[in-house]
Amino acid sequence: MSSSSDGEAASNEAANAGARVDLPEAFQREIREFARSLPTLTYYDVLGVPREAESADIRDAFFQRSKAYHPDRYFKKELGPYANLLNEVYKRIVAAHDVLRDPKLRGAYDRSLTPPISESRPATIPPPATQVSRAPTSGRGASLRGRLGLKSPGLMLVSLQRQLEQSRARACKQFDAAMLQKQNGDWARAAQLVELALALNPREKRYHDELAEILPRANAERAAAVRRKAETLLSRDRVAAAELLEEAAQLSPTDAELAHTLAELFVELEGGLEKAALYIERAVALDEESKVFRKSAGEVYRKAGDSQKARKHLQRAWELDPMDKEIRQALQTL
Amino acid sequence: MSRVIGIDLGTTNSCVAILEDGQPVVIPNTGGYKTTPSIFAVTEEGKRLVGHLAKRQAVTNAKNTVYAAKRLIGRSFDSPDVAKFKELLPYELVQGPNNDVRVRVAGRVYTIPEISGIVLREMKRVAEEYLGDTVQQAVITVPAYFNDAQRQTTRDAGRIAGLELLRIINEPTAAALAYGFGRDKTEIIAVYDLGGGTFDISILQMGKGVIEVLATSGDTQLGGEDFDRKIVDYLLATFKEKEKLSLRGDTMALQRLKDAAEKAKCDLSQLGSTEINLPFIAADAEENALHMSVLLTREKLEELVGELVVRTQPIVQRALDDAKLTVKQIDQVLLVGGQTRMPMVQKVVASFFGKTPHKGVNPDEVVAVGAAIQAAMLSEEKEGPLLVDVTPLSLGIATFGGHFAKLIERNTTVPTSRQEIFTTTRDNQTAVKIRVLQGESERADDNDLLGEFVLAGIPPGPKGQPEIEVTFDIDANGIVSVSARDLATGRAQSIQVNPRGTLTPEEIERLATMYQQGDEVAVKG
Repeated sequence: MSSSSDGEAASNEAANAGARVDLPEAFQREIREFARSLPTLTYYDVLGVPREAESADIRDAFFQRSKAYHPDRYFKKELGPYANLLNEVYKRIVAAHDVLRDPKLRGAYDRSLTPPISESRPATIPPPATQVSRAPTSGRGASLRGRLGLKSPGLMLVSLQRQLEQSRARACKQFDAAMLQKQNGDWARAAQLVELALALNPREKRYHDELAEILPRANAERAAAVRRKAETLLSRDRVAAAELLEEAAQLSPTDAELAHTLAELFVELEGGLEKAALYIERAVALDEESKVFRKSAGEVYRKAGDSQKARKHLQRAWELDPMDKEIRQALQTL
Repeated sequence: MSRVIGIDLGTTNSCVAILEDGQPVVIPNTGGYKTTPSIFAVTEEGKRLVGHLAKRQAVTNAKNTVYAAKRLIGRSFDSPDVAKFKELLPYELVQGPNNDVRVRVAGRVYTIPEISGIVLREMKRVAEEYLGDTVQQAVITVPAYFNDAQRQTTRDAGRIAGLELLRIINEPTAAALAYGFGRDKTEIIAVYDLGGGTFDISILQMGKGVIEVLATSGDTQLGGEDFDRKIVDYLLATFKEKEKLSLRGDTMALQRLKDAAEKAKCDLSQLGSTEINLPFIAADAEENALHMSVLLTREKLEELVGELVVRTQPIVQRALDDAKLTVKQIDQVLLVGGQTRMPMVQKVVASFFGKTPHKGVNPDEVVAVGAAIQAAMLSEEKEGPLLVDVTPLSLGIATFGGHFAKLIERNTTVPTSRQEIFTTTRDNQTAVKIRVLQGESERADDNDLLGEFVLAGIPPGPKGQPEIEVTFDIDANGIVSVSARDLATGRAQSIQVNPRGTLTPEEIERLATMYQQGDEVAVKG
């Protein structure tokens, strides 16, 4: 019953109910806030200790929390809806302590807090992993069959092991499909499928390796497609074309030519000077020795009214090619 | 505001204590003793006796003297343990309508909670006399390994005695509370509690005003009474060999032997040898008086009971394993219960833990003192030591094939809740029965059934497809609730497990009213 929805329901209940409560106003607020934030707190947050806390610190923190939140502390008090909240809060404190006090469980929990690659995965609080797998052993089950199982409607434990195996199997399927797409040369689809496999089984090294190989190619492929589309749009709808090219630039952030094209495009668009500056800076950063980029940068900053920066870029361009008359002219007009 | 007392309801003796001005006080009874025998008797004249008065006349009135009722509390009449007692006890056991155990005393049948209730009522009276005020609430201790039925029946006994039990706590935990009172040292202690009827071991972490139970284990059928029985058996065998006459079946002789055995056992804690003299214990075929005279040495005693002491070792080891600790990590060992006075017990404990046990507590009184401390902590505004307790036995449900799926392991800190997913075992199964069990056996049938309910309305489908989430929840008072939810439909069903004692609520109310009205219980001598 420590699911997030219960915690939220309980905190709403506390806020709404008008029953008499024998607790200081400030403590009521504290419990409400604690209970409401339970779904997002790590076990370290719950005990208020840093990730590197020693076992003695964890024990002391648990004792401190117990003194503040153990329901027995308020045995004779009228708690109204806070009885339930306090219980939920303290149960989480106990769960946190149960995991963090045990080096094995703590290690597993720590790994679950930092998923290897997929940063986007929300840091959910897994239930205490104290249960071991309990798949019924068939031999023994068979000899006892009929005693309980068949007389009453049957019930079977879906063991953690089985749940784990199921998601591993599903991950495997996604990965096989991904490899097929890779063979067909559909890098984008392959990358998507490997990501799915990783979501199901984040600890498989093979998936990580494969994704590292597929993802850049999938991105390049997608960037090329987007670019082709943008180029056809260029003559008709420059704003839409710019949007598509930006997407391509996101997929291939090291493409200096693309950044330059975007800068040239934005400098012509209304209100596009800021972005033009952003992209030309990127182009210049990627290739500092390009006269063309420097010249464009001079143009962008001149239009933006930043003559100091414009001069800097143009001077560098002139050094790169002292024979270029256009540069000299631009410098003179500045 | 009336005061809350702490009572140690023991197998052989009971003790009551209270916190006065922040200091624990063990309350002496009318005779000046700090403990009172947990014995009830009815004399030939129909007079009811409790405590020392009942004990004093036990030899001449063995059939109508009930002792060690605690060993019968919360048990079913047809259980093997009760069958064993039936042969040993001089008083008569009868089967109650709920398959509970009852006793026949002077022609009247009493329930076990009634007997315990009479002892508790006496402890209440002792406290009231001392305080000059009525007492309505108490904290009572029970062996750590008592199951739900035994705890609930103890609660019922309290109700019959006119006491509301704020909490039932475990005896070794109470001892630790008393030991840790006013001490602010961070240390890990082991409480080795060998009482009259039960053996308990608890490992606790103390410090910063908090006492946390790390693990608890025990044997509800191992205690000082078993030591006495070993001696009695030896005396019987010796007598039979010498006189070619068996004394089994002679309740008066057996009661005299039991008393003599207990006394000899206690004497041998101080002396190297003692003489057991029982004149006129029986008569031979020619009506000649036969006497018993046996010299018992400490060595012989240790030979007789050594097996019992050794039996505690694996239990201690299990508690350490549960606490994930080694013997070396234990800072202090506390001895509780009268049987720990025996030098051999102390020796075995000392060698197991590799350190001399702590000598600072009175093993007969420390449990009641702990109960009084917990009573004050719960009932008063003051900041007392906070007890973080565990659930003593595993909880779970019965699954296909008669297996027991534990959701909450024993020694889990409470309050707590745990969930697990279950599924169906037959195609198109639309209902599952949730049978809530307590115990340690892997076989469902070997555990205690606490309650059951059915979750229906599961959409028909292949077996193994539906996902049913079962949640167990225990609050700080030890109240268990269980719910089951079909994850596909959201349909849910739940129960609060009302622990069942051996009597129905109606019977308890009837008895409570009866004793409340002062009816016929002039147990005072």
